[in-house]
Amino acid sequence: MIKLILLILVSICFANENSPFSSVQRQAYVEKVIKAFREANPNVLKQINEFVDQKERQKCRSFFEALTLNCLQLEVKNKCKDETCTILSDIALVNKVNERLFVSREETYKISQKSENYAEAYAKALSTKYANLTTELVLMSKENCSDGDYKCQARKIDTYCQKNSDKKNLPWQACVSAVITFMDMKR
Amino acid sequence: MKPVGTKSIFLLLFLALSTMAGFQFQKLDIDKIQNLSYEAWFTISFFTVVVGTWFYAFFRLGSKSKSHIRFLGPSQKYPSDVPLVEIGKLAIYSGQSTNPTELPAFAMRVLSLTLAFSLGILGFDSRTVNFMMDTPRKIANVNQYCPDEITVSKQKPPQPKQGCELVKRAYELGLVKDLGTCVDKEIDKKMDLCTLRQRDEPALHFLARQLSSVYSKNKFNVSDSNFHSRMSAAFRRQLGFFNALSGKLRNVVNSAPKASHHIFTDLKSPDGRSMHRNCLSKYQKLSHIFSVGDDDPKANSRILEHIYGQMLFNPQYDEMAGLCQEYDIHWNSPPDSCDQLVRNPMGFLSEYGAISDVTLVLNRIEEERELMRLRVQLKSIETGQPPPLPPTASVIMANLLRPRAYPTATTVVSFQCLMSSAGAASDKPRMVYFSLMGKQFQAREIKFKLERPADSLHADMYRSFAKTMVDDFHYATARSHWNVNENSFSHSDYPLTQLEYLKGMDIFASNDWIQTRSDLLEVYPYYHHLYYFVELFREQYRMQRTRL
Repeated sequence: MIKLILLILVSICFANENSPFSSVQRQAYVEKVIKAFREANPNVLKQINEFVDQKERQKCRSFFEALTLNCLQLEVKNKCKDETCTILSDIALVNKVNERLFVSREETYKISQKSENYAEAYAKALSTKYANLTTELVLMSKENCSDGDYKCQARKIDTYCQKNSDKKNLPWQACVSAVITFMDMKR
Repeated sequence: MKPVGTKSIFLLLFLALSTMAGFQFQKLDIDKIQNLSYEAWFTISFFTVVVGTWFYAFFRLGSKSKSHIRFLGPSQKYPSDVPLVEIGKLAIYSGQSTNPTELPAFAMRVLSLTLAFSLGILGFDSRTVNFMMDTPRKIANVNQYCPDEITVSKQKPPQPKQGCELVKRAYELGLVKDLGTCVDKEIDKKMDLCTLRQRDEPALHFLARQLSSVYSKNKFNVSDSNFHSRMSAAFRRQLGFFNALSGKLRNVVNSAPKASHHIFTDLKSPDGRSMHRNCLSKYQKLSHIFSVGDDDPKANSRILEHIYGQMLFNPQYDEMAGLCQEYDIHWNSPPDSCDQLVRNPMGFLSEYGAISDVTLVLNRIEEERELMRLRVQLKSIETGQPPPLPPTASVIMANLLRPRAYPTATTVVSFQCLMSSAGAASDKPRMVYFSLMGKQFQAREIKFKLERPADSLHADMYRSFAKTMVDDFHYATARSHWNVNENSFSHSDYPLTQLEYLKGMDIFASNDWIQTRSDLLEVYPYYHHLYYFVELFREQYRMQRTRL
């Protein structure tokens, strides 16, 4: 009887950790993503980003965000055959649907008015926003992670993004994707 | 009784009077003091130091008074003293003396500074200080002359529009007849008539011109033969509405409330006060998620206060629903507050300190009506035409159907009862009706379920609050196209993309299963849904409640 009660208590304690989006699982996935980004061929990454970008502008263009998301997910699923591609496209996809949260419509309009090369200026503006977020993460975090310590970096990113999602009106996944993308850009 | 120095007596008397005046004119309200601008604070401080020190030095408050005041009982007599006031057997005498009882010099200095501060608070506020700061500019404008030459500002030549080069070339070749949106805008060379003083204009002429411009702004034509009779008729008419005119002026000067909305709840006050008015800065930056400790005895009160601020006043969302000074939560109210309101509205509202604001606002409505009538009559005198007929039914209906409520007694004054319930929450509000100052009012009562403090979303409480404040509140989410359910989060691949679907999972639209998924709640985009909920609530609220 005592063993049964202990079993129930232990299973309750660990139930949360095993749920797919628990803190432990999230950090494990973020760790996997950082590793995939470090090991990925830059050309492959570029191809995935261009693919998502192109599909979003053409086939998956919709007034409804849900439809765009659904369509993009189907497209990248059809394209990706290995796990690395799946992970990288997961980030590319989240970045794409959340671009508007980083560069508002007003800013986009100003960029289109002022710049000769719109695509380049837009990418620069987006990168600046990602940089601001990453800088804040580095400044606010008390933990110092070494370059190869992906576990520590994943914990740091997850904690920061979870704490600040309410303050910045930025979904957790958008924050994680932006930070990881910027970290990879600066590599 | 020992004689007391006149300096001490009068200093204390002035201080008491100025403090009373401060409270009477609501200048010493903590809210008003907290919201004084930096400039006002500087002026008041400067005034306090300069006037307080001068007062102390000028009246030589550090030395003893040469005369004294003596308070005497029935059997006491001092032949050398002169009676000042005699009330029954008590009297106040004044006389000359060399050594009366006096406050210490340090206390006199502090009191004179306090008196100066009190006068400073009475005399200066953010508005008056702004006026003072603006005065030099206004005076400087008097000596401003019209410019000698009309100078057109040198603007940069317009930038060629992108994609217009070919259109312009086609226009030059005669292939198109119109440049369309590619036409260059010409520099606006519009001249305004300069009304300032001319360089060669005599001062007297300029003064006469200024005076005539004042007359020309007058509604009545000065050259008209009936000018004086019309002016006197208008003046007499205004005298007839003296109470409304002076009342309006008094209300404007006193910043009297333009609405009065009351929420009665049986929850305990979260900060120990029965009502709160210190709200201007309080609701500026509320976080979306609000967590309270499991063992906090006032957890539900804190949650309610947070929701109250979030729904009505947080400026991060849509336009605020109202001014927070015109809203009151009456904590610790009896569970049958709405019934008591029906039985004895005057008595109940007096008991909870709400009657003064309610009366003031209802009187202001009457004043506004009176002033509306006055405006119509003055217009009639001005034009010589008979006053217009009352508005037609269609105009009244158009006013009632507009997206904002029309100010009437029931839209600017409201009563709600939000009571806790150990059992299930009531879905539909209970309406009670009563009459107050000749107006019919309704109060809405909702019973809400006490929240689990550990739950940081408080969706049920938000819904209950919305139903209490808005008649027939309905929340319809426009996210049916998301088509999301629990299975949307069960795939092993693309976890971050799966989380995007939380944007379509609105807890305010009864997706209660998500409350059981603590892992999803950790990354739930709460602000995203709260934003729509608050926006929709305020939209509906503005159609039912307003301010004058």
